[in-house]
Amino acid sequence: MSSQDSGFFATANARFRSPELIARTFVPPEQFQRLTKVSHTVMVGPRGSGKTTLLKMLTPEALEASSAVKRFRLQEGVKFTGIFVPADISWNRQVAALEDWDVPSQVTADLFEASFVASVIRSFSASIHERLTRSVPQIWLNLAPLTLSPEEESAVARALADVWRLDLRIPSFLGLRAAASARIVELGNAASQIHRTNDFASLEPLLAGGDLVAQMTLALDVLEALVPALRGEKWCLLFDELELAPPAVRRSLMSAMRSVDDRLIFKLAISPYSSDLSDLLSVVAAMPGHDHDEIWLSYGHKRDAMRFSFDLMEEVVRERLGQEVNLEALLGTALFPAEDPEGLIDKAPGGDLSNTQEDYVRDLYDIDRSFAAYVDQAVGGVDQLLATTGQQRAQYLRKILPLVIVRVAFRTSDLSRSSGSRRYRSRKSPHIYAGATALAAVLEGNPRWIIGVMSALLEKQGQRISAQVQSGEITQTRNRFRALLSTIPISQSSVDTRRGLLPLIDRIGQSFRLGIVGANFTSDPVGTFVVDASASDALVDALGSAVNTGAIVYVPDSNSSGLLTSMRGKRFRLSYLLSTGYQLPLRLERAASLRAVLAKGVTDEQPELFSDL
Amino acid sequence: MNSLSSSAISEFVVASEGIHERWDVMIVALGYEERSVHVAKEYSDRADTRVALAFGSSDTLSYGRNATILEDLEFALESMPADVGRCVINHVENVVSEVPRIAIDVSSFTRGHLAQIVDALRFFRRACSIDFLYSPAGASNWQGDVGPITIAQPIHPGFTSWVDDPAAPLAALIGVGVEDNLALGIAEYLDVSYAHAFVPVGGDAAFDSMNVEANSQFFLAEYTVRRSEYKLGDPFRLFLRLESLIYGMSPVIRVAIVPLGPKIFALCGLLAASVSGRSSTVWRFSSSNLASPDERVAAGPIHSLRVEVVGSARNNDRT
Repeated sequence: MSSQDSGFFATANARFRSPELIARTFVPPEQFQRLTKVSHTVMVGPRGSGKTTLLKMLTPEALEASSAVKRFRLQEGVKFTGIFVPADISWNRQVAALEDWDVPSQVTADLFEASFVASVIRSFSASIHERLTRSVPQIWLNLAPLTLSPEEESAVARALADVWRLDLRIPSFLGLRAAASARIVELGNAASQIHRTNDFASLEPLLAGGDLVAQMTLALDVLEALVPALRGEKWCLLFDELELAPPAVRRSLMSAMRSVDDRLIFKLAISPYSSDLSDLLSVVAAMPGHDHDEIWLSYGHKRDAMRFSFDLMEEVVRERLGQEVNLEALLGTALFPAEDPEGLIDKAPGGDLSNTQEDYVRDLYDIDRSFAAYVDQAVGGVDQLLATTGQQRAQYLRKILPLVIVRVAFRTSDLSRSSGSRRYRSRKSPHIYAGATALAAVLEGNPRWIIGVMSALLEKQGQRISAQVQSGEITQTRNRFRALLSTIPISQSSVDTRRGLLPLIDRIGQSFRLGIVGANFTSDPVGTFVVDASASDALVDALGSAVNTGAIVYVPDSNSSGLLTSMRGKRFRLSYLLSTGYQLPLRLERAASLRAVLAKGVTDEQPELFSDL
Repeated sequence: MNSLSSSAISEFVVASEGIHERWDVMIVALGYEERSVHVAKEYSDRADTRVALAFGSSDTLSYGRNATILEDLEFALESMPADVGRCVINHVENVVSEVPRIAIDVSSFTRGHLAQIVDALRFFRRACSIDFLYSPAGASNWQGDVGPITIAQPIHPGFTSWVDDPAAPLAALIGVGVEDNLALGIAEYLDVSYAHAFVPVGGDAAFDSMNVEANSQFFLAEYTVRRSEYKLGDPFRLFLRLESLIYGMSPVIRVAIVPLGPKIFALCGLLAASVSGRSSTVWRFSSSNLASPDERVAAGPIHSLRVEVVGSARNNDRT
């Protein structure tokens, strides 16, 4: 086990976990089999959606570990050597720091491109080492086993160092990796002084070498010449968090990809909203040599995420408790009706509504005059409503049940409400978001949230986890997410965004809450929004940040591929994790224009969004 | 911008707390806080040359009165330069003494200015001794709401970190302040695997209680493995702790220092990052100029940290 896998580094964030550790508990989403194909792929998903995990699972290290634990099977062995190229959040921010000091933008761009290329070379060197030292069964990695003698390895390493102009101290593939690391550090030292020295000439030796694809192609030629058994093998560049690379680096990469060697495959992970995502997609579509594929790791429709959420939640439980445990037994039955197309949970005995759910319907009928009027008009009374069957039951009862639950939980009774009094109950969470299916919905199929929340819950209560503990963990996770949203830097150029990203999201949530909980009952309230064609660029950018973090979720229509190449005209919902803070049901509601939603979202009764339990 | 040879890299050591009896030059910032003249009032008579770098905020809070006080104390008022570090270098170059003694009051400089000054230490040609002076704020109307963040980036090119392995775990050393949940948000934004919260003590009691409230969620986060206090009056010990942490962690972990809260943490963090080479970075999270200005009065005590700069000329001779 490497140092990063031990103690407090065992986090829910795949970024810091080794491929071997990831493989031990990996639960493949349905998209994974597509990702293993020999095709150029753009994989799009918000923060925490599992992009890093999926890419790392394509490396020889992860495939070897998977072959040992056998938690899943591949339809066929992977036919390429995966080269995982990590990203660093400070990359594009460092550009801004340099540009603040009037370092010419071309110099900055060249420095970052050279650093990026060195980073790829570093990863490539390590992957050659893994390819030639790992013993992976061909049903996992379908490449012929191959080893080199120390002399052969030394010769190849020296030749590659010449190609890459690296100062090779140790003639091996890991020595090449060390030399590439040293190059990155050299570039960093140069970058940290250039604002005072203006000594651009001394940078030239570090910047020479050509673009990424040219250097990789040349390296493959050398590799194949010296190791003929590798001829024709595919090498797959797995670029993680491409949005973190400075724009100039992305443009350079896209330019290089247009003339790529067919020994190279590109799998690119990127956030949903990126100004050059459209360009990236068209470049990948036009790349020669292989098919291309697009993978979307976000779930506008809850049912799409449920299978994966349940599988991963069960895996976390199995890993923590050392045994299989039924999630309903562990977490209880949710009050919200489950969208359960795959029969993940046992149906409640005695009908489609539990006694508690029936009590909620009767309670609301008693305390909410607008609901009583709706029921009376629709079916004649609450007894008649609960006795409905067939299509009528679906239309009048099952459809409104989530709305009934949040109104009973959070709305002040009309019986106790006087003119001018509060519209919402002040009590904190009544735990309506607890229970297996509700928790799975709240966690959105987001592996980071699932692993983080389930691990914390199991830490607190091992066998039966109370609704109160679940609600507390949801609140804590939501608070952390809200803190992130309030820290993401935003443009201040528009009145739409002047107050920041979190207040913008809050206004949307408050608007939905007003219509769903506060106003007179309607069976078809607004709970999603469509971005207006006239939305300002600053607003679109802010919403883009919200999509990238998972605060809002794109809801593609049935004819759409799911990839988000533009925000305007597209439909979104709030993440269910945030929805718990706005006291909303966990399902898709009707859409309205964002302009109309924001116009309604100002209220003097702010929900207790940052409450502690 | 003047150029310096890339080979002219100086070294410096953070020596101790202590205040020289005489300085060749004293540099302060003329700002709108009442405390921005406190050090000058107490110690300007020890300085042969007195320079006040003036922010352009002439009609804000105590600015006008501060300007009058500094003029009465015979400070030369200069406009705040784009590069305060270069300005300090120039003043050192003009001193006749063999080893110039400089005093810099950091209390009212921005964190960005402090980064410029500490960055410049590596580009001094002459050896010199610098006393950094700090006047903590007394009872103030502390604001927990800083408004939307508009800047989140390494504080200065000299404090970026070009790591060879972006997949290495990231540890954040965060000096926490009173901004509601900002430390938590930053830890989430930077995607840290480990956070160490530094909590200031020995200052205003109201600050202390707001600090606890503003960071309660952060202190509970599972990656916040350590919450420790530092004394505002003992910056040398704070520097040593930060330097030791960076030294101990940086072989296997990337380190990001985030200076929220008192400026003395920013100074110590920048110095520790600078002496650690390229193994750590210092970040700036700012609501830019959108936050409303707040008055800060001086609590009274003045704390110091001494830095001895070797100077690149002597450094090159030695090598």
